[in-house]
Amino acid sequence: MIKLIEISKIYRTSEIETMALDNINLEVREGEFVSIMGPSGCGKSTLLNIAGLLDEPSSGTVELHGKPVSGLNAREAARFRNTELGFVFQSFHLIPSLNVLDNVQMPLLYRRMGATERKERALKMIEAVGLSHRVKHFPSQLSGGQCQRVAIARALVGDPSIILADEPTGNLDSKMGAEVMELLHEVNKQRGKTILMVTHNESQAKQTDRIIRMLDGRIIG
Amino acid sequence: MKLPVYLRQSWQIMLKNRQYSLLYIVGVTLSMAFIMAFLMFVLMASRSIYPERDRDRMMLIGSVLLCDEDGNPKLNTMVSSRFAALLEGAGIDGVENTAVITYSGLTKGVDLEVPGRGIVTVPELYVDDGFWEVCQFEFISGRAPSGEWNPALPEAVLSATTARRCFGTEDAAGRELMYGGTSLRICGVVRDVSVMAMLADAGIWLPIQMGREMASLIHNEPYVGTDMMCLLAGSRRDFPAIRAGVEEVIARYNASFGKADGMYISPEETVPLTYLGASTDAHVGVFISAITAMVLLLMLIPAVNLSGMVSSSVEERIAEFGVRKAYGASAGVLVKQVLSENFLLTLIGGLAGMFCAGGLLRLLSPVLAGSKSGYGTGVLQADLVFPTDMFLRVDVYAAVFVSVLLLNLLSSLIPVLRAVRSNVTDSLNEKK
Repeated sequence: MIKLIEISKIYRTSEIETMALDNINLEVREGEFVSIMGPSGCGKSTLLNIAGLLDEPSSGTVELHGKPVSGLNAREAARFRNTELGFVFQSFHLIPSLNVLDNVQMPLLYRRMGATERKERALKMIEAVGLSHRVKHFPSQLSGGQCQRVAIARALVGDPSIILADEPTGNLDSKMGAEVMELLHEVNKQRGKTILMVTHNESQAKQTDRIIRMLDGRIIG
Repeated sequence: MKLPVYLRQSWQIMLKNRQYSLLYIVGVTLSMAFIMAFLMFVLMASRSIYPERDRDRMMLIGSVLLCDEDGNPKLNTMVSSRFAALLEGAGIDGVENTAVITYSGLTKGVDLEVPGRGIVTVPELYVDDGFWEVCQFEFISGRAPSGEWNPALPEAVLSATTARRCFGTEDAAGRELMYGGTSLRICGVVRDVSVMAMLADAGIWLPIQMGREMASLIHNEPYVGTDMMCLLAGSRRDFPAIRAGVEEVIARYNASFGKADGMYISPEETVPLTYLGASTDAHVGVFISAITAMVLLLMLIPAVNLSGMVSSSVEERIAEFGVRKAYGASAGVLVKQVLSENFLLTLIGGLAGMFCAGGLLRLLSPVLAGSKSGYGTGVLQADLVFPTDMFLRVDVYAAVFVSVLLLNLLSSLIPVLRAVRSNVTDSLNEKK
C-alpha cells in the first residue's frame, strides 16, 4: 500500500546541510493503522509529508498501491493526492471563512463533480463524524475536538484509501483526544482505511497496529 | 460550479475583514469613478446621446478655410449663410435632412426679461426648422416651433431648467417673455440637454432669423459666417457620396466669385468636419487606441495601490492555500479562485464607481463645458447635464465590466501568483 524505499531527505542552505531522513525503508500494508513516534526534529513529519506527496525526497522511491509516485509532476501529484490521500493536521487547518459544510466538501471542488453530489457526500460525512447539527457553523464557533472531527470528515469525503495524520490529537485535551482517536479507529476498522499517524502520545500509539520509532532521521524500531 | 462556493467564501472574508473590505471597495470606487467618468465622457462625445440620437449618420460642417486664389490659407471661419443656403438647396444625394445653427457671437448667453422675475441669462442657439427634425428632443410641454416666422411674436423653446428659472415650472408652453425688446412666445419645453450634445446644447432655442439679424451686424457676409451645418445622412454608407456632393457645391460657390473677390473656400478643407461617428475609420482607430492606452495607464495607479492590499490579504491565507494544494488544487485553480473572490469586491466598487462617475462628471462639468467652446458656440454653460440614459446603455455596463476585470487582474494577479508558488509544506507552515 505505502512503500518507502531508501528515502533520504536533505535540507540544504548555502552554509549547512541537514539530513532530515537517512535511507528510510518502510512498508505499510492495506488497512493497517501505523503510528510513528520519536522526539521532535527526528523526521516524523518529513516522512509523513513525503509519503503524502506533499514534499519530495532527495533520493529514494515512494510507491503507493504498488506504483512509484515520487516522479509525478505537480499536476499529477495533486490529482493523486485528491483521489487517494486524506490529511489530518495537528492544527486542523480548517478554512476559517468557510462553514463546516464548505470545509468538508472542499476536496471535492477539485474533481469533476456537481454541486448536489458534493453537498450530499459532505453532509453524509459530517453526519458520520457526529456534527450534523453544526453544518452551518464556522470553525471559530466549534471546539477543538469538533474542528478535528470536521478535518477528519474532510479527509474522508473523497473516499481516499490512505489517511495521513500528523499529531491529530496534539492540540486537544485528553478527553477530546480520546474521542478523535476513537473516530480514527472507527475509520480504520469500519471503512478499511490505511492510516499512518505521527504522535507523541505513547498510549495512543499502543492502540494502533504497529509503532515505528524514529531518531535522527532513521527508523530505529 | 465552484464559483458560488468561492463567492460565498469571498462574502465571509468581506464580513470578517470589514476594514480591509471597506478600504478596498472605497479604493476601487474612487478609481472606477475616475475611469468611468473618463469613459462616459468619451462615450458621450463619440456616441449618440439625447437629443443627438443619430450621431452615427450625422456630418457636421463646423468651419471652412478661406484661401486666396493660389490656395494659401487666409482665414478659418464658420459657414456663411449664403454657402449654407446653397448647400441646403443643392439636393445632395444621400442627405436626408439638414440643420443650420447660427451663433450670434455672444459669449455669456442671452438676457431674458421675465415678468415678475427680472433678468435670466441663459445660453442660446438660433436654429432653423430642420434642426428639430435632425435632433430628437423630448418635449415636457408644448411642441417644436411651427416653422412660420412671425417677427412680431417669435416662437422659442426652453430647456426644463430654463423654464423653472423663468417661470418656476416646466409647464411653460404658451407663456411669454422678452428678449432684446421683442416678445417671445414659448412654444415648448424640452428635457435638459447635456453640454456634451455638441450640436444641440442650449438653454433656449430661438428662430434662426433672429440670429441672422444680429450676425449680419457684426460679420462680413458672404465670406465670413456664423453658421454651423449638420447633414443627416440616410446611412453611413452615404458619406462618400455626400462629401463628393459638398465638393461640387463648393466648386460652384467658388466659381460664383470673380478673381477680384480674392477669397475662396479651399477644396482641401471641404471634407465636412464630423462627429467621431462619422469620421474615417483610421481616425476612429487612432482615437480608440489612444483612449484604451489612457484607461490602462489610469488603471495602473489604483492597481498598484490595491495590489499592496491584496498582497497582505493573501499572505494571511497562505496556510489555506497549503491545505487546498494538499487536497489537489493546482496553482492555476487557486489563482482562479482568488481572482473570482476578489472580483466580488471589485465589482461592488466598480458599480458604486459607475454611479459616482455621474457625480464626478457634474463636478468636473465647468472644465468639460469649457472644452466645448472650441467648437464655436462661444457660450460657456456651467452645468453639464448628465444624460441619464447612459445608465441604460449596454456599452456602459460592458465598459464597467471590462474595467473591473482589468483592475481585478492588474491588482491581484502578482500577489496571488507569489502566494501560490510556494510548496505545500511551506504553505502549511505559513512560510512565505
